[in-house]
Formats: sequence, C-alpha cells, structure tokens
Amino acid sequence: MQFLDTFLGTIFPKMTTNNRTNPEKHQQTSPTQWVELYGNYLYKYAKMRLRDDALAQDAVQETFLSALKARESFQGKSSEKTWLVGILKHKIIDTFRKQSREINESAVTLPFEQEGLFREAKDEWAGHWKQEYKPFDWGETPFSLAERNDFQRVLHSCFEKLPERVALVFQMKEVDDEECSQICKALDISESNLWVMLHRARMHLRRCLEVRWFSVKSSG
Amino acid sequence: MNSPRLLLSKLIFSVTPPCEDITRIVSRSYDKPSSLKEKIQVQAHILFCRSCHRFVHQLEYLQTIVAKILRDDSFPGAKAELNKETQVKMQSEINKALENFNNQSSV
Repeated sequence: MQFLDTFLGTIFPKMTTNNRTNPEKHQQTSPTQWVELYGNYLYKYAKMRLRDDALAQDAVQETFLSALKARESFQGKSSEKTWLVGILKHKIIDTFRKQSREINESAVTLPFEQEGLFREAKDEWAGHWKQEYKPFDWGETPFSLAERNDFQRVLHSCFEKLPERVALVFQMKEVDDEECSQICKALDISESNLWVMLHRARMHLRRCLEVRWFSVKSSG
Repeated sequence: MNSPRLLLSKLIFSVTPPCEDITRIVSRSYDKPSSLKEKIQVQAHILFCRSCHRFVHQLEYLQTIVAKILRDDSFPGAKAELNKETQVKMQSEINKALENFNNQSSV
C-alpha cells in the first residue's frame, strides 16, 4: 500500500489515499507556542458563544491548561487546533451549566419575537399571520450573499440579539452539527425545550433579516 | 365572493393547523424528521397560504446561508483578539504549568 501511495502521489500529487503517511500533518507543537498559534482563534470561538470577555478568556486559559495535562492522549487523528477546540467546547458547555438557571429565558422577549405575530384566539383566522408580520417576497436570494461583508454584518448583529443560551444552542446545532440528543445531554435540557429554543432563534433571525436586509433591498 | 378557490382554501385551513403551528412544524423538521401527517399538513396549507409558502422557502434558504456565515471565522467585523498583555499572561501560566509537570515527572 505504501508503494502504491507513493506511486500515485507522483502522478497525481493531490491525491494521496492516506494522509497519515504525510508526517507534516497533525503534529504536536510545543505548548510554549500555543498562545501565539491558537490564542486568538480560540478566543474568537469562545467570545462568539460566551459573549463576555472575561468568561471567554477564562475558557481559553482553562483549555490550554487542560490540554497540557491531556497531551499524552493527543493521537494526531485530528489537527492540534481541532483537538483544542474540542476541549474548549467542553469548557464552554461547563460555563453554561454553571450559570444560574434562574435566568428565565421565556421572559426575555426578542425584538423580532414570534409572540404577537399571529392572530389571537378570538379571531376568525386565529393562528394565522397578522397582516403586518406576513413574510413578504424576498426577491433574489442568492447563496453569494453569504460572501458579502455588509450582509454578514447584518446577520451577526441579528445573531447577537439572541439570548446566550439560545444562541449557543443554535450554534451547536447549525454550526457545530451536534445531534439534538448530544446538545440536550450537554446542557441538561429536554428535547422539546431545545426545539423551542431553535424555533425562536429561527423565527427571530428570519424576521430580523427580513426587516433589516430584504425589505430595504427590495424597496429599491 | 364564495369562489370555489376561497371555499377550498377555507376548507384546507379548517383541517390543517394554522400558520403559527405550521411554522413550528417546519422549524422542527430541521431537528427531527416530520411525520407523514405533518408533511401533508404543511403541503396542503402552503398551497393556499402564500405567507407560509414564503416562510418555508426562506427558512430553507437561511439554513444554508446562516450556518455558512457563522462558521466563517475570518469574519472581518469580529473584533475578538487577545491583547498583548493577556497573551503574555496566558503563555506564562502555560509555561508555569509545563514546568511543574516536567519537574514532577523527573522526580
């Protein structure tokens, strides 16, 4: 197999069947370089989820210290960065678990909240969209919008309005691709609890983008 | 005003969940597979409800684009960076711990 790998590697340089034969990948670096190599990346990751500066820095510091202890267990299956992010994820979850559960999320009303968007019970059309909140035609919705800085800014600002736990749960599901059961287990919430949070996040983001991007653009 | 279409839409709306529930069903379909009943309910409803029809497509669109943007850590607006002082402090904590380990293991 080794011979075949090398042979193929010379004819098709990008096509190596086994990247474990490449000794450059997945190496460990000296911890004395970790802050320089990974500090900002991990901090950005943590800040995105924890929002608070101090909490994010603590999480990163804890990550490095834990990683130091666990260095023996790093097998090079993933890159060192991925390995560190994995540890950081756990630290972030721990932080959320420690945070007071007294924060009653349902009491926090989002600016673009789904309450009040639908007609009341006594109405003939109870449960249907209220006239002023009906989704309107967004017109062109190209995927290339994801590359535009101005659109990214609007999305990020919409995202920042989500309560932390809702934002975290959304990120774990949609960005980190975690399974629902894993998220529930990690944060000690029920599945229906999770679905409600994800639904709120989606309703909010949809409406926020509608108002702050798509309505403005189509009235051009 | 009692056009066949209006009557049909009223019929569909009376046997399918209203928009508020439809939005919940659609949203949850991204987290857990919908039942056949739910799929039929949604399809029937959006045949006559333009708002929900739009909602379904908008959510579909957002599913891809939002994750893509949030995943992108080269986002220029993200001001998250450790200042020099913090970096130095962090590294010295690591170095201290590293030294402790090395001292312990050499005992």
